[in-house]
Amino acid sequence: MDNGDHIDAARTSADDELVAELRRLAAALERVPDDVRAAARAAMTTRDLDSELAALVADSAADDASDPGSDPELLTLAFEPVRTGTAGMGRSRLLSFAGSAIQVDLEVTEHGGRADLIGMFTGASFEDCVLEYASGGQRTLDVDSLGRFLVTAVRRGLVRTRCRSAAGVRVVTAWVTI
Amino acid sequence: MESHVTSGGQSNPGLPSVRLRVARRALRGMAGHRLTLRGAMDSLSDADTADLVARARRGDQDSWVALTERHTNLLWSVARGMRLSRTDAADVVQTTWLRLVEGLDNVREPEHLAGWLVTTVRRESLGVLRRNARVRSAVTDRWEDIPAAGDEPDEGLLRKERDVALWKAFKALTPRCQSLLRVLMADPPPSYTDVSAALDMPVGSIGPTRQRCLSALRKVMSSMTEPAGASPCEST
Repeated sequence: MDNGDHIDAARTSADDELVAELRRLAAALERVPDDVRAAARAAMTTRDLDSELAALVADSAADDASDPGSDPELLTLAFEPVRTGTAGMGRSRLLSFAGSAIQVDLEVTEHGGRADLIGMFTGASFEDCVLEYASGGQRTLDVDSLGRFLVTAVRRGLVRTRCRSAAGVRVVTAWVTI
Repeated sequence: MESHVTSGGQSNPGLPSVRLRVARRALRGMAGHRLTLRGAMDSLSDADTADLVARARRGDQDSWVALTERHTNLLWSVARGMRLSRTDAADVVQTTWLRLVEGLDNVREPEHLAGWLVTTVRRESLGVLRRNARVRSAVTDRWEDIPAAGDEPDEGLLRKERDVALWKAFKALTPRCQSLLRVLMADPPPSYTDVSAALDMPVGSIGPTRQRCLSALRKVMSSMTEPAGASPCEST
Protein backbone atom coordinates (compact mmCIF):
# COMPACT_ATOMS: atom_id res chain seq x y z
CA MET A 1 0.00 0.00 0.00
CA ASP A 2 1.60 3.30 -0.98
CA ASN A 3 0.98 6.75 0.39
CA GLY A 4 -1.61 7.61 -2.26
CA ASP A 5 -3.82 4.82 -1.00
CA HIS A 6 -3.68 6.25 2.53
CA ILE A 7 -4.77 9.66 1.31
CA ASP A 8 -7.56 8.12 -0.74
CA ALA A 9 -8.73 6.08 2.23
CA ALA A 10 -8.75 9.14 4.51
CA ARG A 11 -10.73 11.16 1.98
CA THR A 12 -13.13 8.29 1.41
CA SER A 13 -13.83 7.96 5.11
CA ALA A 14 -14.29 11.74 5.50
CA ASP A 15 -16.68 11.67 2.53
CA ASP A 16 -18.59 8.75 4.02
CA GLU A 17 -18.96 10.67 7.28
CA LEU A 18 -20.24 13.75 5.48
CA VAL A 19 -22.83 11.67 3.58
CA ALA A 20 -23.87 10.02 6.84
CA GLU A 21 -24.32 13.47 8.36
CA LEU A 22 -26.47 14.55 5.44
CA ARG A 23 -28.48 11.33 5.77
CA ARG A 24 -29.19 12.20 9.39
CA LEU A 25 -30.33 15.71 8.41
CA ALA A 26 -32.51 14.39 5.60
CA ALA A 27 -34.11 11.96 8.03
CA ALA A 28 -34.94 14.86 10.33
CA LEU A 29 -36.07 17.31 7.64
CA GLU A 30 -37.48 15.23 4.85
CA ARG A 31 -39.25 12.28 6.42
CA VAL A 32 -41.30 10.25 3.99
CA PRO A 33 -44.90 11.24 4.80
CA ASP A 34 -46.94 8.55 6.54
CA ASP A 35 -49.60 8.61 3.82
CA VAL A 36 -46.93 7.80 1.21
CA ARG A 37 -45.89 4.76 3.24
CA ALA A 38 -49.52 3.79 3.72
CA ALA A 39 -50.22 4.11 -0.02
CA ALA A 40 -47.22 1.87 -0.76
CA ARG A 41 -48.55 -0.81 1.61
CA ALA A 42 -52.09 -0.47 0.24
CA ALA A 43 -50.92 -0.84 -3.39
CA MET A 44 -51.06 -4.61 -2.91
CA THR A 45 -54.84 -4.48 -2.45
CA THR A 46 -55.14 -3.45 -6.12
CA ARG A 47 -53.59 -6.74 -7.25
CA ASP A 48 -55.87 -8.43 -9.75
CA LEU A 49 -54.96 -11.97 -10.70
CA ASP A 50 -58.07 -12.57 -12.80
CA SER A 51 -57.78 -9.73 -15.29
CA GLU A 52 -55.59 -9.28 -18.29
CA LEU A 53 -53.54 -6.09 -18.08
CA ALA A 54 -53.89 -3.63 -20.94
CA ALA A 55 -50.58 -1.75 -20.84
CA LEU A 56 -50.18 1.91 -21.69
CA VAL A 57 -48.80 1.97 -25.24
CA ALA A 58 -49.25 5.61 -26.23
CA ASP A 59 -49.64 8.91 -24.41
CA SER A 60 -49.84 12.26 -26.16
CA ALA A 61 -48.39 13.86 -23.02
CA ALA A 62 -45.28 11.89 -23.99
CA ASP A 63 -44.45 10.37 -20.65
CA ASP A 64 -43.06 7.46 -22.60
CA ALA A 65 -39.55 6.15 -22.91
CA SER A 66 -38.02 9.43 -24.05
CA ASP A 67 -35.84 11.20 -21.53
CA PRO A 68 -35.32 14.93 -22.00
CA GLY A 69 -32.31 14.82 -19.72
CA SER A 70 -30.29 13.02 -22.32
CA ASP A 71 -31.80 13.91 -25.67
CA PRO A 72 -32.69 17.53 -26.52
CA GLU A 73 -34.36 16.48 -29.77
CA LEU A 74 -36.75 14.16 -28.02
CA LEU A 75 -37.48 16.94 -25.58
CA THR A 76 -38.48 19.27 -28.38
CA LEU A 77 -40.93 16.62 -29.52
CA ALA A 78 -42.15 16.06 -25.99
CA PHE A 79 -42.84 19.75 -25.56
CA GLU A 80 -44.86 20.16 -28.73
CA PRO A 81 -48.25 21.48 -27.78
CA VAL A 82 -50.92 18.84 -27.58
CA ARG A 83 -53.87 19.50 -29.82
CA THR A 84 -56.35 21.83 -28.23
CA GLY A 85 -60.02 21.10 -27.98
CA THR A 86 -62.81 23.32 -29.20
CA ALA A 87 -63.19 26.83 -27.85
CA GLY A 88 -63.89 26.93 -24.15
CA MET A 89 -62.60 23.41 -23.63
CA GLY A 90 -59.41 22.51 -21.83
CA ARG A 91 -56.59 20.62 -23.48
CA SER A 92 -56.96 17.00 -24.48
CA ARG A 93 -54.61 14.13 -23.80
CA LEU A 94 -54.87 10.89 -25.70
CA LEU A 95 -54.00 7.58 -24.06
CA SER A 96 -53.98 4.11 -25.61
CA PHE A 97 -53.83 0.82 -23.75
CA ALA A 98 -53.38 -2.59 -25.35
CA GLY A 99 -53.73 -6.14 -24.14
CA SER A 100 -53.44 -9.33 -26.14
CA ALA A 101 -56.84 -9.02 -27.80
CA ILE A 102 -58.27 -5.66 -26.80
CA GLN A 103 -57.46 -2.00 -27.02
CA VAL A 104 -58.68 0.87 -24.87
CA ASP A 105 -58.42 4.48 -26.03
CA LEU A 106 -59.01 7.39 -23.68
CA GLU A 107 -59.31 11.08 -24.41
CA VAL A 108 -58.87 13.18 -21.29
CA THR A 109 -60.02 16.79 -21.35
CA GLU A 110 -59.23 19.07 -18.45
CA HIS A 111 -61.82 21.28 -16.85
CA GLY A 112 -60.18 23.15 -14.04
CA GLY A 113 -59.71 20.66 -11.28
CA ARG A 114 -61.72 17.94 -13.00
CA ALA A 115 -61.49 15.90 -16.20
CA ASP A 116 -63.90 14.54 -18.81
CA LEU A 117 -63.09 11.15 -20.27
CA ILE A 118 -64.20 9.87 -23.65
CA GLY A 119 -63.23 6.26 -24.12
CA MET A 120 -63.54 3.36 -26.46
CA PHE A 121 -63.05 -0.36 -25.96
CA THR A 122 -62.24 -2.40 -29.07
CA GLY A 123 -61.67 -6.11 -29.50
CA ALA A 124 -64.55 -7.42 -27.42
CA SER A 125 -68.00 -6.43 -26.28
CA PHE A 126 -67.72 -5.27 -22.70
CA GLU A 127 -70.12 -4.78 -19.86
CA ASP A 128 -69.75 -4.11 -16.15
CA CYS A 129 -67.15 -1.43 -16.76
CA VAL A 130 -65.92 0.85 -14.01
CA LEU A 131 -63.41 3.64 -13.54
CA GLU A 132 -61.34 2.89 -10.41
CA TYR A 133 -59.45 5.38 -8.28
CA ALA A 134 -56.18 4.34 -6.64
CA SER A 135 -57.31 6.38 -3.65
CA GLY A 136 -60.38 4.16 -3.36
CA GLY A 137 -63.84 4.28 -4.88
CA GLN A 138 -65.07 3.84 -8.41
CA ARG A 139 -67.54 5.13 -10.99
CA THR A 140 -69.69 3.07 -13.31
CA LEU A 141 -69.01 3.48 -17.01
CA ASP A 142 -71.98 3.24 -19.37
CA VAL A 143 -70.47 1.58 -22.42
CA ASP A 144 -72.64 1.66 -25.56
CA SER A 145 -72.94 -1.11 -28.14
CA LEU A 146 -69.95 0.24 -30.04
CA GLY A 147 -67.74 0.14 -26.96
CA ARG A 148 -67.79 3.89 -26.34
CA PHE A 149 -68.32 5.74 -23.10
CA LEU A 150 -68.30 9.26 -21.72
CA VAL A 151 -67.77 10.20 -18.10
CA THR A 152 -67.65 13.80 -16.94
CA ALA A 153 -66.20 15.75 -14.02
CA VAL A 154 -63.83 12.99 -12.95
CA ARG A 155 -61.71 13.70 -9.89
CA ARG A 156 -58.04 14.05 -10.90
CA GLY A 157 -55.61 11.43 -9.77
CA LEU A 158 -54.51 7.86 -10.42
CA VAL A 159 -57.20 5.90 -12.25
CA ARG A 160 -57.71 2.75 -14.28
CA THR A 161 -60.64 1.16 -16.10
CA ARG A 162 -61.85 -2.34 -15.47
CA CYS A 163 -64.26 -4.38 -17.58
CA ARG A 164 -65.72 -7.82 -18.07
CA SER A 165 -66.65 -9.02 -21.54
CA ALA A 166 -69.88 -10.85 -22.30
CA ALA A 167 -67.73 -13.95 -22.76
CA GLY A 168 -66.33 -13.56 -19.23
CA VAL A 169 -62.94 -12.11 -20.15
CA ARG A 170 -61.73 -9.55 -17.61
CA VAL A 171 -59.49 -6.66 -18.55
CA VAL A 172 -57.91 -3.89 -16.51
CA THR A 173 -55.90 -0.95 -17.86
CA ALA A 174 -52.60 0.16 -16.37
CA TRP A 175 -52.79 2.92 -13.75
CA VAL A 176 -52.47 6.40 -15.15
CA THR A 177 -52.52 9.86 -13.57
CA ILE A 178 -55.10 12.14 -15.16
CA MET B 1 -6.11 5.15 -9.34
CA GLU B 2 -9.71 5.45 -10.41
CA SER B 3 -10.84 3.09 -13.10
CA HIS B 4 -13.28 4.73 -15.44
CA VAL B 5 -15.88 2.67 -17.14
CA THR B 6 -17.59 3.86 -20.26
CA SER B 7 -21.19 2.85 -20.49
CA GLY B 8 -23.44 2.63 -23.51
CA GLY B 9 -26.43 3.33 -21.29
CA GLN B 10 -26.95 6.89 -22.50
CA SER B 11 -28.41 6.06 -25.87
CA ASN B 12 -31.40 4.08 -24.79
CA PRO B 13 -33.30 5.61 -21.90
CA GLY B 14 -36.46 4.06 -20.58
CA LEU B 15 -35.62 0.42 -21.10
CA PRO B 16 -34.93 -0.75 -17.56
CA SER B 17 -33.76 -4.21 -18.48
CA VAL B 18 -31.26 -2.93 -21.00
CA ARG B 19 -30.06 -0.17 -18.69
CA LEU B 20 -29.69 -2.50 -15.74
CA ARG B 21 -27.69 -4.96 -17.81
CA VAL B 22 -25.39 -2.15 -18.85
CA ALA B 23 -25.06 -0.91 -15.29
CA ARG B 24 -24.29 -4.38 -14.00
CA ARG B 25 -21.71 -4.92 -16.69
CA ALA B 26 -20.10 -1.64 -15.70
CA LEU B 27 -20.13 -2.68 -12.06
CA ARG B 28 -18.47 -6.01 -12.83
CA GLY B 29 -15.77 -4.16 -14.72
CA MET B 30 -14.94 -1.93 -11.78
CA ALA B 31 -11.82 -2.70 -9.82
CA GLY B 32 -11.31 -1.60 -6.23
CA HIS B 33 -11.78 -2.92 -2.74
CA ARG B 34 -14.71 -0.71 -1.73
CA LEU B 35 -16.87 -1.57 -4.68
CA THR B 36 -16.15 -5.26 -4.29
CA LEU B 37 -17.18 -5.09 -0.66
CA ARG B 38 -20.25 -3.06 -1.51
CA GLY B 39 -21.11 -5.58 -4.21
CA ALA B 40 -20.94 -8.42 -1.70
CA MET B 41 -23.25 -6.58 0.70
CA ASP B 42 -25.66 -5.84 -2.13
CA SER B 43 -25.90 -9.45 -3.14
CA LEU B 44 -26.93 -10.40 0.39
CA SER B 45 -29.76 -7.91 0.49
CA ASP B 46 -30.60 -8.66 -3.15
CA ALA B 47 -31.15 -12.34 -2.32
CA ASP B 48 -33.31 -11.23 0.56
CA THR B 49 -35.30 -8.95 -1.75
CA ALA B 50 -35.84 -11.79 -4.23
CA ASP B 51 -37.19 -13.89 -1.39
CA LEU B 52 -39.57 -11.13 -0.30
CA VAL B 53 -40.80 -10.74 -3.88
CA ALA B 54 -41.46 -14.48 -4.11
CA ARG B 55 -43.42 -14.43 -0.84
CA ALA B 56 -45.36 -11.29 -1.78
CA ARG B 57 -46.26 -12.96 -5.06
CA ARG B 58 -47.77 -15.83 -3.10
CA GLY B 59 -49.87 -13.31 -1.23
CA ASP B 60 -47.81 -12.76 1.92
CA GLN B 61 -48.77 -9.29 3.10
CA ASP B 62 -45.89 -9.01 5.60
CA SER B 63 -43.34 -9.51 2.82
CA TRP B 64 -45.00 -6.83 0.75
CA VAL B 65 -44.90 -4.41 3.69
CA ALA B 66 -41.21 -5.27 4.20
CA LEU B 67 -40.51 -4.50 0.53
CA THR B 68 -42.23 -1.13 0.75
CA GLU B 69 -40.47 -0.26 4.02
CA ARG B 70 -37.13 -1.10 2.48
CA HIS B 71 -37.47 0.92 -0.71
CA THR B 72 -39.97 3.76 -0.23
CA ASN B 73 -37.39 6.10 1.28
CA LEU B 74 -35.14 5.70 -1.77
CA LEU B 75 -38.04 6.27 -4.19
CA TRP B 76 -39.03 9.41 -2.26
CA SER B 77 -35.41 10.65 -2.41
CA VAL B 78 -35.25 10.13 -6.18
CA ALA B 79 -38.51 12.01 -6.78
CA ARG B 80 -37.67 14.86 -4.38
CA GLY B 81 -34.13 14.95 -5.79
CA MET B 82 -35.71 15.61 -9.18
CA ARG B 83 -37.39 18.62 -7.54
CA LEU B 84 -40.93 17.32 -7.55
CA SER B 85 -43.30 18.88 -5.02
CA ARG B 86 -44.36 16.72 -2.08
CA THR B 87 -47.73 16.11 -3.72
CA ASP B 88 -46.21 15.07 -7.05
CA ALA B 89 -43.56 12.97 -5.30
CA ALA B 90 -46.30 11.18 -3.35
CA ASP B 91 -48.08 10.45 -6.65
CA VAL B 92 -45.06 9.05 -8.45
CA VAL B 93 -44.04 6.88 -5.51
CA GLN B 94 -47.57 5.48 -5.28
CA THR B 95 -47.63 4.94 -9.06
CA THR B 96 -44.35 3.04 -8.88
CA TRP B 97 -45.71 0.62 -6.27
CA LEU B 98 -48.93 0.18 -8.27
CA ARG B 99 -46.83 -0.62 -11.37
CA LEU B 100 -44.97 -3.26 -9.39
CA VAL B 101 -48.26 -4.82 -8.28
CA GLU B 102 -49.46 -4.80 -11.91
CA GLY B 103 -46.35 -6.63 -13.03
CA LEU B 104 -45.61 -8.66 -9.89
CA ASP B 105 -46.06 -11.99 -11.65
CA ASN B 106 -43.77 -10.93 -14.48
CA VAL B 107 -40.80 -9.67 -12.49
CA ARG B 108 -37.96 -11.42 -14.22
CA GLU B 109 -35.02 -10.51 -12.00
CA PRO B 110 -36.46 -10.01 -8.51
CA GLU B 111 -32.97 -9.67 -7.05
CA HIS B 112 -32.65 -6.43 -9.03
CA LEU B 113 -35.98 -5.03 -7.90
CA ALA B 114 -34.47 -1.82 -6.47
CA GLY B 115 -33.02 -0.92 -9.87
CA TRP B 116 -36.37 -1.50 -11.54
CA LEU B 117 -38.15 0.59 -8.91
CA VAL B 118 -35.82 3.58 -9.19
CA THR B 119 -35.90 3.45 -13.00
CA THR B 120 -39.69 3.45 -12.84
CA VAL B 121 -39.93 6.32 -10.34
CA ARG B 122 -37.47 8.33 -12.42
CA ARG B 123 -39.55 7.80 -15.56
CA GLU B 124 -42.78 8.68 -13.77
CA SER B 125 -41.11 11.78 -12.33
CA LEU B 126 -39.97 12.91 -15.77
CA GLY B 127 -43.54 12.45 -17.00
CA VAL B 128 -44.88 14.70 -14.24
CA LEU B 129 -42.19 17.34 -14.86
CA ARG B 130 -43.00 17.30 -18.55
CA ARG B 131 -46.73 17.65 -17.99
CA ASN B 132 -46.20 20.45 -15.43
CA ALA B 133 -43.80 22.25 -17.76
CA ARG B 134 -46.35 22.02 -20.54
CA VAL B 135 -48.99 23.53 -18.32
CA ARG B 136 -46.66 26.42 -17.47
CA SER B 137 -45.49 26.62 -21.11
CA ALA B 138 -41.96 26.54 -19.81
CA VAL B 139 -39.19 26.35 -22.37
CA THR B 140 -36.38 24.34 -20.91
CA ASP B 141 -33.87 21.79 -22.04
CA ARG B 142 -33.28 19.75 -18.92
CA TRP B 143 -35.19 18.91 -15.81
CA GLU B 144 -32.42 20.53 -13.77
CA ASP B 145 -33.54 23.88 -15.21
CA ILE B 146 -37.10 23.51 -14.00
CA PRO B 147 -37.53 25.59 -10.84
CA ALA B 148 -37.79 23.67 -7.58
CA ALA B 149 -41.28 23.05 -6.30
CA GLY B 150 -40.89 25.59 -3.51
CA ASP B 151 -41.86 23.32 -0.65
CA GLU B 152 -38.38 22.74 0.63
CA PRO B 153 -37.88 21.25 4.09
CA ASP B 154 -38.10 23.66 6.99
CA GLU B 155 -34.61 24.38 8.33
CA GLY B 156 -36.23 25.58 11.54
CA LEU B 157 -36.44 21.93 12.51
CA LEU B 158 -32.67 21.87 12.90
CA ARG B 159 -31.37 22.92 16.31
CA LYS B 160 -27.61 22.69 15.89
CA GLU B 161 -25.86 25.57 14.18
CA ARG B 162 -23.63 23.25 12.20
CA ASP B 163 -26.65 21.31 10.92
CA VAL B 164 -28.29 24.51 9.68
CA ALA B 165 -25.05 25.56 7.97
CA LEU B 166 -24.62 22.14 6.38
CA TRP B 167 -28.17 22.11 5.01
CA LYS B 168 -27.81 25.68 3.71
CA ALA B 169 -24.59 24.66 1.99
CA PHE B 170 -26.34 21.63 0.52
CA LYS B 171 -29.08 23.89 -0.90
CA ALA B 172 -26.39 26.03 -2.54
CA LEU B 173 -25.05 23.12 -4.61
CA THR B 174 -25.91 22.63 -8.26
CA PRO B 175 -29.18 20.73 -8.91
CA ARG B 176 -27.16 17.80 -10.30
CA CYS B 177 -25.12 17.55 -7.08
CA GLN B 178 -28.21 17.93 -4.92
CA SER B 179 -30.04 15.16 -6.73
CA LEU B 180 -27.04 12.81 -6.55
CA LEU B 181 -26.55 13.46 -2.83
CA ARG B 182 -30.28 13.15 -2.14
CA VAL B 183 -30.22 9.66 -3.60
CA LEU B 184 -27.00 8.73 -1.78
CA MET B 185 -28.56 10.05 1.45
CA ALA B 186 -31.46 7.60 1.25
CA ASP B 187 -31.82 5.18 4.15
CA PRO B 188 -30.84 2.38 3.72
CA PRO B 189 -28.02 3.61 1.44
CA PRO B 190 -28.59 2.47 -2.16
CA SER B 191 -26.06 0.48 -4.16
CA TYR B 192 -24.19 2.27 -6.96
CA THR B 193 -26.10 0.15 -9.48
CA ASP B 194 -29.37 1.57 -8.15
CA VAL B 195 -27.96 5.10 -8.02
CA SER B 196 -26.94 4.64 -11.64
CA ALA B 197 -30.49 3.68 -12.58
CA ALA B 198 -32.01 6.47 -10.50
CA LEU B 199 -29.91 9.21 -12.05
CA ASP B 200 -29.28 7.82 -15.52
CA MET B 201 -25.58 8.07 -14.80
CA PRO B 202 -22.86 5.49 -15.58
CA VAL B 203 -21.77 3.59 -12.47
CA GLY B 204 -18.18 4.61 -13.10
CA SER B 205 -18.90 8.33 -12.78
CA ILE B 206 -20.82 8.14 -9.49
CA GLY B 207 -17.73 7.94 -7.27
CA PRO B 208 -15.87 10.87 -8.90
CA THR B 209 -19.05 12.98 -9.04
CA ARG B 210 -19.84 12.24 -5.40
CA GLN B 211 -16.29 13.32 -4.51
CA ARG B 212 -16.62 16.56 -6.51
CA CYS B 213 -20.01 17.38 -4.99
CA LEU B 214 -18.81 16.73 -1.44
CA SER B 215 -15.72 18.90 -1.90
CA ALA B 216 -17.96 21.65 -3.33
CA LEU B 217 -20.12 21.23 -0.22
CA ARG B 218 -17.08 21.68 2.04
CA LYS B 219 -16.05 24.74 0.07
CA VAL B 220 -19.47 26.36 0.54
CA MET B 221 -19.41 25.45 4.23
CA SER B 222 -16.02 27.05 4.83
CA SER B 223 -16.93 30.18 2.86
CA MET B 224 -20.01 30.53 5.06
CA THR B 225 -18.16 30.12 8.34
CA GLU B 226 -15.00 32.10 7.54
CA PRO B 227 -14.96 35.85 8.19
CA ALA B 228 -15.88 38.04 5.22
CA GLY B 229 -13.02 38.60 2.84
CA ALA B 230 -11.29 35.34 3.58
CA SER B 231 -11.21 33.23 0.49
CA PRO B 232 -12.11 29.59 0.73
CA CYS B 233 -8.94 28.00 -0.47
CA GLU B 234 -8.91 24.38 -1.33
CA SER B 235 -6.16 22.56 -3.10
CA THR B 236 -7.42 19.95 -5.50
